[in-house]
Amino acid sequence: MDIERRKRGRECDPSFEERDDEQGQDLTAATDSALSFCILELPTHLLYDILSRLPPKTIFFCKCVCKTFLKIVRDPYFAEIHVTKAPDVAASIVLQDCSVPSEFRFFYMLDLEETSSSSSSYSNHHPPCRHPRRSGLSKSLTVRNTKFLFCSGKVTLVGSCNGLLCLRHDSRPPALHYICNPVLGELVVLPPLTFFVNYSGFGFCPKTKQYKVICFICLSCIDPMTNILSTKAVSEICTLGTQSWRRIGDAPGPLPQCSFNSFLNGNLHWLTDHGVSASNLICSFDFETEQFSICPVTYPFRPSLLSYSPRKGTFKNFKALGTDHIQAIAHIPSFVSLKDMARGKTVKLDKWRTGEGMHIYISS
Amino acid sequence: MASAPENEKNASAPEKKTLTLKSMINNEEFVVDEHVALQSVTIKNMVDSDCAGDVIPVPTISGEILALVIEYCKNHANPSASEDDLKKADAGIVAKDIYTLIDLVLAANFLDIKGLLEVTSQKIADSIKDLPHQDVREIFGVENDYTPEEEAAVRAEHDWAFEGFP
Repeated sequence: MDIERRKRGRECDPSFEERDDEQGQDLTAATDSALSFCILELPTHLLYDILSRLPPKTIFFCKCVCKTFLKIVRDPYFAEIHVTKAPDVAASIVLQDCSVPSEFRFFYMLDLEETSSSSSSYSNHHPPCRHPRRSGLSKSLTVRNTKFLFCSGKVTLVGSCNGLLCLRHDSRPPALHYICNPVLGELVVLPPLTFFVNYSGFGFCPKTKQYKVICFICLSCIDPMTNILSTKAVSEICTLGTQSWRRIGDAPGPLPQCSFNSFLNGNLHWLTDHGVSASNLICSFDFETEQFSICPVTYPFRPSLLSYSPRKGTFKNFKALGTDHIQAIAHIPSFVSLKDMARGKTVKLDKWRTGEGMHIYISS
Repeated sequence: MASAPENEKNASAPEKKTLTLKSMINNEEFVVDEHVALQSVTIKNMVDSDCAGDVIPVPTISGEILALVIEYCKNHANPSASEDDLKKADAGIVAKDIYTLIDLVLAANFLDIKGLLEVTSQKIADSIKDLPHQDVREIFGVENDYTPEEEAAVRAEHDWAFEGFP
């Protein structure tokens, strides 16, 4: 009898089609026919694949389902395959309102809905802090950062890569770089720099699986022979998991006020004029070879915010409209744990705590 | 008589080669064009290494599921099908209940058909999207093996995600 029923259920059960409308009914139908079926009977690699296709919130729910699911989600290999699928599932935007005094410069992370494309951009004339909710931005994962705002804290949004966010605090001479995974609530502090940093960039070398931060220090010098003042940018690089910065030579400095966080396919890109040419050039930095290269821009363009899906090979365009004082970068949440990077004892791990550190909550 | 080898060639080349797939669960047989069946890497390997007889037995896959797999392969072997058509056809194939989807994902995995594995896995994932863990357990038939304390501890790691959920 039971088998008969299950068979019939297979043929005519449309429940998984109309889940959204009739969730209640659906669940009963599922329970009724849940005979000797358990998803855990699937080969493990299929379970990894299925769970990695879910948005971050559902993955957290899955951790509570059973111990097997918890083990999968905590596995670094899960984070690895999740990163490749994540751009098709969820995209966020990280915003910083720079128009307010520095002690109120919070960071906001807004989830864009899965189906969203360029249309669901944050089109608000007010700073986002006053309107954390907008239609089209349902159940946002909102991140308010208070931890970095000690002293006369000035924190800059450096970049986002594989779900890790890099921030720079430079109110005091030792400029500090932080790398965090806001979804997992993990934070790492890089070794301090002893001088003032003009620009930083954050990226990933897919070959060695290393995360690196590069920073630029713009120096002015007077040629003793000609007495001509010139500027040059010196760059230093730090690999996550190591204890020191390395000098990698002079770099084509970025244009002032220019975005410096366009990371794609192992390369960081920025606009430069190379100090001489009147036209803009795109400079790229390869995180694997640690070499700079330059290519000309053939047409004028305005910087805009893009996210790239490695699987589809497509770009998503975001527009953050509002005052000029809003910094925004695209961010794809991931489960890449800084703990996996912290082999040995070279990186410092802080856990954000609600109340005193990072507040992660849903505003809905 | 001298043309005998040529005849043989002519007989095999222009005629469409077919393979017979047989479900070992209910002994149902399906005759399919070879190029359709070869989308399965498993079958391709069997054919390439001359392991395939007249009838290829397919263990653990029922006729019902095998029919779906063949439908998928036929759609994707059609060179004139547009990407949109294929997407629609794929959506039709995976518009099934969870039990069929589980059987289908196992079949796609066994027969090694990447595209079918992809759409089926996605459909299974979609069936629990945005649902709290209690619902996920019911849909996936998973038994809760946590003690209440353990569950509370795991939940506390990301308690913000549970706001608005019981």
